[in-house]
Amino acid sequence: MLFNSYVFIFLFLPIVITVYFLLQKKTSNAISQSFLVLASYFFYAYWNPHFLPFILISIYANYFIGLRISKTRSLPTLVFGIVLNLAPLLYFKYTAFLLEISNFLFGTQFKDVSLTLPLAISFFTFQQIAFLVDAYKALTKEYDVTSYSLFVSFFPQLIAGPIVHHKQVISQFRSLKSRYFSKHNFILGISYFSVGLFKKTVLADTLSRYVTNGFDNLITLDFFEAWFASLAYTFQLYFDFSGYSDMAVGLGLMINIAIPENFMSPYQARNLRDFWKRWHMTLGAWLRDYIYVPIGGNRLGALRTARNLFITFLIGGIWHGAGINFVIWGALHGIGVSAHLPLSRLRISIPKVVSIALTFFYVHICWVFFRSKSFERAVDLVSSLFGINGFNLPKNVDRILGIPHLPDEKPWISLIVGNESNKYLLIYLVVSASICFFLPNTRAFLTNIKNRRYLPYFIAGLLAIGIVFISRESEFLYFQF
Amino acid sequence: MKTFESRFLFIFFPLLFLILFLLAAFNFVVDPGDIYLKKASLFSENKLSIQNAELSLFNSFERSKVGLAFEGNERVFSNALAKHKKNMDCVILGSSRAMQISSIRSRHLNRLCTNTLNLGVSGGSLEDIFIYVQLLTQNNNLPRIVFIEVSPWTLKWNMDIRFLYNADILSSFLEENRISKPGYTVKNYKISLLKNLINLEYTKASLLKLYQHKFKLTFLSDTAFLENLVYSENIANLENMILTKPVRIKDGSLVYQKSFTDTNKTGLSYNEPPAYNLSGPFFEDSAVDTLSNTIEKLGHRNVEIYLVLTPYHESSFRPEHAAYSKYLIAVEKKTREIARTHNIKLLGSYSPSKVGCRPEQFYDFMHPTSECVDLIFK
Repeated sequence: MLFNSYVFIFLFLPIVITVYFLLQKKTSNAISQSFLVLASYFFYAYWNPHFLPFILISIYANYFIGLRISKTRSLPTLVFGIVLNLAPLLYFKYTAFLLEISNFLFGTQFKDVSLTLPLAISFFTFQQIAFLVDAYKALTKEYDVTSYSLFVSFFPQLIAGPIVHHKQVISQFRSLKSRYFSKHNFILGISYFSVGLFKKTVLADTLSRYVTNGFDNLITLDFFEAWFASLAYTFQLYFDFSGYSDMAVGLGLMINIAIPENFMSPYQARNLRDFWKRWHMTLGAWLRDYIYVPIGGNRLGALRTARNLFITFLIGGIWHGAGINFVIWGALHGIGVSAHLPLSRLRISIPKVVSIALTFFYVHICWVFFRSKSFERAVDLVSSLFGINGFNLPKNVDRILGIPHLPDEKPWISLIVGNESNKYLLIYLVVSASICFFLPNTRAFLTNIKNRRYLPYFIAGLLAIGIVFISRESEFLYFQF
Repeated sequence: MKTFESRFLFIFFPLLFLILFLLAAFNFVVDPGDIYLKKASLFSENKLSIQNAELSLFNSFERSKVGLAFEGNERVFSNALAKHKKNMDCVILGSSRAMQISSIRSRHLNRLCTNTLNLGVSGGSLEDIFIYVQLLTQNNNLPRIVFIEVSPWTLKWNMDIRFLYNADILSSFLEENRISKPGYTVKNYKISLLKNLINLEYTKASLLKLYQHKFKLTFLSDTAFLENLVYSENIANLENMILTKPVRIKDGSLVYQKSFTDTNKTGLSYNEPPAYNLSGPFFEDSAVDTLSNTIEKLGHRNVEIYLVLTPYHESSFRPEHAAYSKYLIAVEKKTREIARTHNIKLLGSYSPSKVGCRPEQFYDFMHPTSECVDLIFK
């Protein structure tokens, strides 16, 4: 089920919240938790019921392995648990990629395989591996099968994160505070949800039309086309994913569960390290705690630190998808973050605007690899960004400058500025950039809400517009990861 | 004094539902797609009903020299034609892929027919074919020849929901032919109608309609304004004119508006995989049986049947689209088998090269131009 669907907003959500608090009032916490677990399974299975048994087996197997590890502190059991989690992820997500590499490197003749990826596998795999590692370190607190199931399957964060840590939520599920309907939390929650829905349906989904044209439909883009398409994607991805995360945080708050924030104005970052403290923060924290620190972190000198950072980001890239472009995307971020270390020691003073612009430019180039369907396509697009594939002034600019139109004017350029249905892209890009660079993020906006008398009008308007824009009910970009 | 929280909730929910309700009411009343026609009773002062609105539409159509600009519900238009148009010798049934079949614009079709009526509709499915067979039969309007355009999804039930506008007519067809209802999604259709009331695109269309009609409300799209929109120009020039709306010309076929043909001329949509409605099994036996029985029954009433396959763009047959082109191959094979079994003629093919259509003779990957479909009747 999608958050941005009528069935979720008008049926699932009101029913779940009402029944949950009724059960809390009339029965026990255990029963209302069980109801949330069942609701989450229904939410998961609504889209594709075939994978429900898979996630059920995964949850209950990990629960019992976790129990055993807690009791025995057995390293082999931990290794077994990690392998058990990684094996299906490798199989479903990376088989085709590995066969492709084998064919390329060793000349094997494996045929293409296309396996349907179980929904959210990357997210619940990481959450459960963290849980097993912490069980081995005796860091897991008291839990039972219901609260563990809810920790993995809790519907607000199940499909595309944020990646929650067991210590962040299990205690909340068992807490007395979460049992009573809180008007304040509900208002905060619905405000977060409305902002997120607006980001997704109004901004991200509108930009996606231009992104698809630029990345998928056209053969070679010139300078302007490449910038329009890549910027549209840079903003689309942010609004899509941060919109999803805002909705997840909001849904959690409605049920009195604080889910960690995932975005903190990432395009206002002044360097790449700063960017990763603001972008997909829960994945960053997971990679730091369960990859970077265990392989040495910053304990063994500058060179080793740089190596560890590079490896961590490379794994982060591979986590995002099976393909050479994701590897390159991870490597570029690894190189960027590693290079920032010695550069920062030079203590060169760079104006804030310049450092934000440079960081944004680097991140933006990296997104081209992230989005492109092939390596060649990405290189072609990056070449276009630097003007290597030529310039072709948009028709309206031609007109302003008094330059006659070129006879072979490209159709896409005319789509951007000359065609009725697409002429607003520039406006969308300016609005998107203004939001990303100048407006406060959702969390900052929703602090001290009591001082904002206009808030109910503003949020009602935002939610109504978000609902009207749902028409297409598109998937979230991060569902594929 | 109310707390901030109580005040928020007191304002927020009523305001949210008021906004959505007003929007839904606006779309319901303006109704640019003519899909909420059952609200006729709300217009009691005009004594309008769906029936006389259809008749009014048909009369305007008849008075026109060339045809009518019409952007409303195509099924309303086709229903009006099926009920009231007389003396045609050929009828075309099918989807939007058949809407370019035209005896007026054709050089070849008029060897078979002198007075043709095209009842193709967007999203046309198997059910639409039965609906129009039923309407023609009920109105004693059966022609000498019926062309049934078979799209790759036609040999299955429930491949679209738009036919549910005519759910009552379909029910009477199924009852008369003693066919059990194959699980129609009437509920889904009603939910779709509800969702549509707060749909962005529908709202845009409502605003546009209201603006074009100088903020006057009408019951059925254009009925109050038809006289202004009747085209009196020479039909040969129609396709070269800058049309702002699609025009149903006198044989029922459709001439698209310029914005549609322009968008598609960019060639972008040629590159799309031909995925539209191609999933699941190639065909369903019960659907094929029902179509076969209908062909037999029409044959008994001295109606000659032709099955027609209109081509897809050549890009649809590229190797990377094999997952979809396999449907085209399998359904074409099955359609030929049906034609052989019933000893009826089959015209055309999904393959553009077999028909002789050039790549530029398409609006997109699945909609051939009238020039292309004309070659089918060569």
